[in-house]
Amino acid sequence: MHEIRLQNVRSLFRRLFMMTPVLGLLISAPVEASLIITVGNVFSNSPSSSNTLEVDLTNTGPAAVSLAGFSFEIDVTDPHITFTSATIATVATYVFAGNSLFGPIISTSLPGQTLDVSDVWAAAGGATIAAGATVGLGHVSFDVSAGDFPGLVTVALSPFPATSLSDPAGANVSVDALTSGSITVKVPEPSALVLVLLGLFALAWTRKCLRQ
Amino acid sequence: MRRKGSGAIMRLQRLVGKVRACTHTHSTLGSISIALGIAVLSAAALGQGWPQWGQNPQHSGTIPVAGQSLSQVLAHIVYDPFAAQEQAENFGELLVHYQTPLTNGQDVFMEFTSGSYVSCNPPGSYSPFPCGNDNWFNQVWNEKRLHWENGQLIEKWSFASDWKPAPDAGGELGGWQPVFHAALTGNAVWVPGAGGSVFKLSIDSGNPLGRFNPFGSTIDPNTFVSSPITVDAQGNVYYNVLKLNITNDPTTNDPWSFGPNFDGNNATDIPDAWLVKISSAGVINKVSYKSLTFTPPTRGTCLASFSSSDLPWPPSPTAMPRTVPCLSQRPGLNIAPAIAPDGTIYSVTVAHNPYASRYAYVVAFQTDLSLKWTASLRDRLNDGCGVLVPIAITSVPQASSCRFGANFGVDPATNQKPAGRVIDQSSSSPVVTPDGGVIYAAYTRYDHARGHTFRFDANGNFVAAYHFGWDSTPAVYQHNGTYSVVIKDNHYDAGNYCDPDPSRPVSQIVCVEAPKGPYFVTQLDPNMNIEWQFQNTSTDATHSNGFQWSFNAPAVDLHGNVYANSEDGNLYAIRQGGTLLGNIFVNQSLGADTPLSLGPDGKLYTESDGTLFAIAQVPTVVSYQVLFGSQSFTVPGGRTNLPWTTITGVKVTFSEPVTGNASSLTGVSVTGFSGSGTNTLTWTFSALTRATYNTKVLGTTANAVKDLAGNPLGGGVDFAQILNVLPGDVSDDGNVASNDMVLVNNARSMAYNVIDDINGDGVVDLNDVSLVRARIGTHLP
Repeated sequence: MHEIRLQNVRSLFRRLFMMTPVLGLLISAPVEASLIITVGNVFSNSPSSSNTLEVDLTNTGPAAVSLAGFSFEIDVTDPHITFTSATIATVATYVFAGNSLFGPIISTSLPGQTLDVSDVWAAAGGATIAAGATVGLGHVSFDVSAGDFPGLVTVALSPFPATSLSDPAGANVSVDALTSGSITVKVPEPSALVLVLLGLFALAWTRKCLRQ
Repeated sequence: MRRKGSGAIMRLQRLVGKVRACTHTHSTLGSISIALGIAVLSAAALGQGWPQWGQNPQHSGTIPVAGQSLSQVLAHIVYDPFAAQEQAENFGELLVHYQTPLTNGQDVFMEFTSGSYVSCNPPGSYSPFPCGNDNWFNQVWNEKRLHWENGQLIEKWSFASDWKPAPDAGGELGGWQPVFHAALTGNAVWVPGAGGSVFKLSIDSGNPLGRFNPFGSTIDPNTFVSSPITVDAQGNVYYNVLKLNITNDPTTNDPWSFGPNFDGNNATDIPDAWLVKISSAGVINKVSYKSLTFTPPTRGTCLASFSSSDLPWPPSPTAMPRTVPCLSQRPGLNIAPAIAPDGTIYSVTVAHNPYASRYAYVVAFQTDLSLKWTASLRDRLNDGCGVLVPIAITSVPQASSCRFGANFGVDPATNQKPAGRVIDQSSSSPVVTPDGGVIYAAYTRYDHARGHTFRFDANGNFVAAYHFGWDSTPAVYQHNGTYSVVIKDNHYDAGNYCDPDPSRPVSQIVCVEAPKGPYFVTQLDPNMNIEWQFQNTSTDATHSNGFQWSFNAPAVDLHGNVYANSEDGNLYAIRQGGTLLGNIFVNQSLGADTPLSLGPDGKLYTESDGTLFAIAQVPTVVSYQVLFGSQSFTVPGGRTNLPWTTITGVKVTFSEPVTGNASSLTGVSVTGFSGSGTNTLTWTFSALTRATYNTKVLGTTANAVKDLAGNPLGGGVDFAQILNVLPGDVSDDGNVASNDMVLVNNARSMAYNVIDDINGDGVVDLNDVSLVRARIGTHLP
């Protein structure tokens, strides 16, 4: 037992020793944020309306980031999908919660396959995005018109300058990754309805038999 | 040593050397000749242009218009394509006297040479004959009318004259080419022709209106128009003519009478010489200089100068130089007659024997060409030994000094009182002073070849002299009831009165070259006292004490500003008092001294290396503003992109009042224009959308912006201004992004900054933030 413990300690020191250069680099390197803007993945029927998806910002870096403005642009190529607006009613805490200059509606474009969204921190300074935190940038509403084909539709984020972050001084803040999202379109089919009905019928019949 | 004005001396020395080689005689001539003149007068300019040598009949070199600022060379045109060959032929010096650029309205009249130039092999060798300076006759002298059009001098016509210069004859003129000089009257251009004749050309077309030959219908190839043409206020025309002895055999050809042994003896006299007057009605009169009776009388024999074997000079206090036949008095080459307001005609003569150049007269004629008076240039000075030339303090030869025991004041070369010399290498011409007297700048050798400027009163009485006069037609500037005399005042790197001769050891001691400089433009009072001086202070590796002034006739404007060109390549404007008003680099050269002139609009004309330069104050763009909303911004203003959404105009401010029109701005669709005649022009248009606009304010074409004198913008250069319109890009990084929105939002609570006022309404507010926001994601292609 004692020997096992000793081996574990040695192993720990060995690992620490091997990690020393890496730790040194981490310690000496400037602290940089790693900012990722992500579009959510959702399912929507065709036709349907008032569907929503989230656009979030995640700070994966080791330090907090201060922001005073953002913009993003998403677009789809499916003409049956129409972005209608974006609001600050995000699932994750809105990035400028309580200090949105333009909220609650923060989209600037007309309904269409492209949606431009932006907002500014209304007060002095800016919002602090803590390390590891995820905040909402926009709660996007969209409609799916009838006649769409089932399947996955990519919701792409446009690159800079359409999608951008700004610090309180008005300097651009680099976005490290733009992660596209998707809308999976579902189209209810007759065969499926039959199966549902059959299932419901079988369930009801089973329950009846059990009672009997 | 290289000095302008010493070129003649060097050529004469070369000639003398040639003579020594031929004759084994020792010429006593150490340098060239002389002369002096005088003349006078009025500073009142005849017209607004510059119609002749010295601007007016008095040659005062002044014009009652203000010279323009020396801001830009508007044009440069080669008028002597042979300048480089001529320089090669003459040891690097351009020994050609050129015409003054004549101005009239928007026209410029100038001589242009064409034909062919046959260089010697090697250059300067005078062989194979006829070449170089012996081959001037293969050149053609043309008078051209140039006209200012859209900032350029455009040739309107060219007239090829059959005039030829009096010959150099193997170096007898030292290689100095006489001047071909036209003059303007109201509607005509008067151009020298062959055989002592002149052409009268239509000023508009250049077509000959007539040829005036004082000698009948014969065009004698040995008879030469030998001076610039002078015209008086009544349109009468004056010039000098020489008839020379010329043979086709170079071994005997001796038009300038050096004599068969090149010592001035046994020389043949000049056949004749005349002052010609053509009345405005076309009546030709002439008077022979040989017919004149001079006072004091001319002599049969004249004193030459001591031999270099007798250095230091004078050989003794009682020594007399050898004598030569004086030959007839005749006008010096290039001497333009000057006409006083009362009609008195001034000219300058010299004994034809080149060794008798110390026998010269200022001659005054009545309007009918009868003699009024003559005044000798001899016995006027007393500033030789002991004054300008030190007297050795011991019997040992002393550098740059007269011999020990020399008489006070004498010319060491003659042991006589110094005399003003008239030499044919000079272009000095008489100038009439406002008091009716006359000034003439003569050559003297004993003061480092600087010469002397003489002034005589209206009756021919000597008044005063100043010790510089080489190749100089002074300007006379009237002011405050008096007048001043403006001259160049160079100190040449010549020996004091002689040049070192390797074959004469004593000359190596006595004839020490002076250091170069200093070089002044000097203004004198009527008594030839210095009023002020302006020193050339440019330096380089070989000019530690400035550069020579390279004009032979300065120009003075309405305000008394003196315009002078220098061998440092600059044209200078010098204020009264001798302070620098401005200068502009034109062309550095070692050419012959040249005249300057002004146009009626104040443009400056100068010459260098056979090229005419026109210099003027041209309108320039002082500021270029874009107009948006109620605001404006001066571009580029440190910016690349313009962030405003409402740019609807351009306002350009110029250095002076200008004219223009709607089409004077290109690159945008102009809908409105205003401001012509002021310093600021404004063009308006529909609001500029996101794009790059390559705008130009035109300095070319018929739509060019021009100043009130007609000078186009930039001297004929378009002003280009790119407008990168990217509304919303306040950060000027070429993209509209959220940071721009933040910047404008921040600016709402800061001091007003027009950059953040996107709509130009004078306030930075939420509207501006929204305007940026609406454009996020945009950029220029």
